[in-house]
Amino acid sequence: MSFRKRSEVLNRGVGQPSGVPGRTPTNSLRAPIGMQRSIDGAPRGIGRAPVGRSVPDSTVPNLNNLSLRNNNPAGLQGSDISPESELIENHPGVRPSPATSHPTTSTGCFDLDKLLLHSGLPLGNTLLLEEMGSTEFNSIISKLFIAQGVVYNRTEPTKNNTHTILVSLNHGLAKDIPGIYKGSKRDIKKSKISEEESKVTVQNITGHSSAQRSRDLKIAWRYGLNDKKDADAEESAPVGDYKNYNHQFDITTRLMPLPTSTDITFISPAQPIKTILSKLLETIEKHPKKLIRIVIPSLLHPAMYPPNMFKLQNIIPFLHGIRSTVKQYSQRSVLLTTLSSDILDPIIISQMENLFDSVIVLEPFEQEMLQFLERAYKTQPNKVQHGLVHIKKRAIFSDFGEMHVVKSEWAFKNGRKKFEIEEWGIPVEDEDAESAKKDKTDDVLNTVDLNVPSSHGDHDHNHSSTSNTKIGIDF
Amino acid sequence: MNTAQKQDLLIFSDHSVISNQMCNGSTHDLILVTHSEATSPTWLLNALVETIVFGVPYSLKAEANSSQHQVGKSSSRNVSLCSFVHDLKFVENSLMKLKIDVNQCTFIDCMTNFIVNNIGKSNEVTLKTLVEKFPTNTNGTIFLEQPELLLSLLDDLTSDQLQKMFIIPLMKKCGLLIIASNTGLVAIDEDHIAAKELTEFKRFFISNMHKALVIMNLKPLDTGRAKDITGTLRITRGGKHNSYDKIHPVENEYLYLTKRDSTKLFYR
Repeated sequence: MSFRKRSEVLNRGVGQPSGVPGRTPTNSLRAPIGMQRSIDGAPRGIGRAPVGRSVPDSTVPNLNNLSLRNNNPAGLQGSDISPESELIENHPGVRPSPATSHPTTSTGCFDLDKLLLHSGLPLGNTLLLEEMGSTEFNSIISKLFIAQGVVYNRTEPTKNNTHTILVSLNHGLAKDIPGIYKGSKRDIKKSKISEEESKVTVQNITGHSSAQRSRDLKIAWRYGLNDKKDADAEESAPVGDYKNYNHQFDITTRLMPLPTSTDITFISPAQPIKTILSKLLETIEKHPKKLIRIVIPSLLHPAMYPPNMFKLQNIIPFLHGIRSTVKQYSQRSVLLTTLSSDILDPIIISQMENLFDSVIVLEPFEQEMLQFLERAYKTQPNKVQHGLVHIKKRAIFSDFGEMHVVKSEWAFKNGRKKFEIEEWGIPVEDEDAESAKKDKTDDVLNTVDLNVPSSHGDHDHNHSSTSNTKIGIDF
Repeated sequence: MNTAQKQDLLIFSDHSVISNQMCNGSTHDLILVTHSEATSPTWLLNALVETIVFGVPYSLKAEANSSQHQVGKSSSRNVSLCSFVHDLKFVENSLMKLKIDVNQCTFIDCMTNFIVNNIGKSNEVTLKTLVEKFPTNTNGTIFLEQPELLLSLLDDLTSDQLQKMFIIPLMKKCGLLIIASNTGLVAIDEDHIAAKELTEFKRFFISNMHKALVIMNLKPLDTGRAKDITGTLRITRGGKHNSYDKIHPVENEYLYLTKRDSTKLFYR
């Protein structure tokens, strides 16, 4: 005799949890096959890596041999191999790209990670985030990127695993990075209550246990309803192996405690290029076995950069040098650069884009468009987007010749708890509802009108104009 | 798109990609590959490297398989690769995928530490040092990726100086020079930006076009992004007089699709 539901599958296949009510499947079994790791921590990549791009096992050792043998004149790549592979295996903020298997780190913005098609930015790659107009949405992304790096450091309190290098004069940026989102006010209250309840007191033990028992003893236990609830909660949580890969941040809060010099190093851009590049190299070498996240927020901001940097022959060597550094430490460094494109020459922008692996453009909406969206989403103000997202290049894909220029297909909106990027579609203004409302009022008014003797003798059925009705009432 | 429509890449009238009559020690030719930001020429350059090494661009052939690579004769032609945007690792990975022995090629890394090593030096010294790094072999081929970046990287360098001190000496050092240039700048409207830099870039591209025997242009579709087409490859004759009696470049236009590591060509 069995108490199973008729629709329940008895055997989900080999290696799957039996699905017996009351048993919770473990995290590792719930992880998608492609994201599982082998015992030694190396990604297995079963069914994940695309066939065309996957490298046969026999060629993998050759790759290492080649890079060691044909070392570049700087001789820096070969010396860095072992700590980097160790980093890839153990770092909470590094995971294989679902598209190409390249080790990838999060930008701090889940939707941007998705947009890049790698679930983040592949290590050794650079991202340029341009913004048109005079808004500062790009600064949110920079802050999220910095915050994510600092949070990685705090996931393993015993050892620092990440270092962020900020090429900026604005030291206040470190104090201004958002804290981790802890849920809505209701969620925070709930968690506080459950925290209180979990404390061992006589009241809690007696009260809690009786309530819990009564809940557990519901007849529904036979149908596994409680288990279903548990499973749902588990599904919404991040996947087991990469639970610390990406965090959600609340831009209205501040990350506490504030990051220190072990988390962030500032390099002033108002120095000769050679000094900036040597300081950058020095800082990277000072932090071996760490993930290096380089951020250049508001590149060529007139308040931070000297006028000579606006010359093509100064800014391009600067970026070329930084690209060279990122590629030198390609197994443990990434670069994010943001800039306002309206103040710059198209030649400079074009040459800059040429030096980056991924280029994303934010185009905030004009005031009229925003007003239109606010009208269209009158009842759902959270749905109002703030601008369009254009893609010009995607790391790795564009390098191999794939065409990834995508214009006006995505839109972004900035909220308290999320910088969201979603598919763009022009909303339809709900005129029918408005006109229906109008009609309804007209009907009401006309009924009143019918009761009042009309001077014209006949009733006007034109519902589009209310003026007649008004006159009727006045009369 | 039907696989039956797939075409082989042909550039010269003897049905070859790089004719055997070239790189004979007495001629110095230039092939110019122009592209935009959206259409990276990596696959095309790989195909040309394959042609130089194996005689056939296996990566563009439908029936290509690993056994053919072994059968294909590896030529004794010297290949030098130089890039201003990619490092050794990138080039090694590309060559490995093509199953080309890395030792057969010389790579001149003009990306790693280029700025740190050359800052403060005069343009003449920098360019002279660069040219000296390339081996002299009049039967050999040199691949040069984005040399126009030198106009931005070196102070007050003009197009004429770049041609005189870098491109022409390199052409003399080899039998065939293949230059890949990002010509996305050309689209910028000159009426609005009367910058000297833009003029220099355009002059450099035009000079290369005049010197080239063949111009291969990669550009995205005018109609925008498509799932089954990446862009168009247009092969046209360059400004150089054809000095070969039996061969000439065949003007043609292909549609191509690059997905993951493979590229397919179709007739337009």
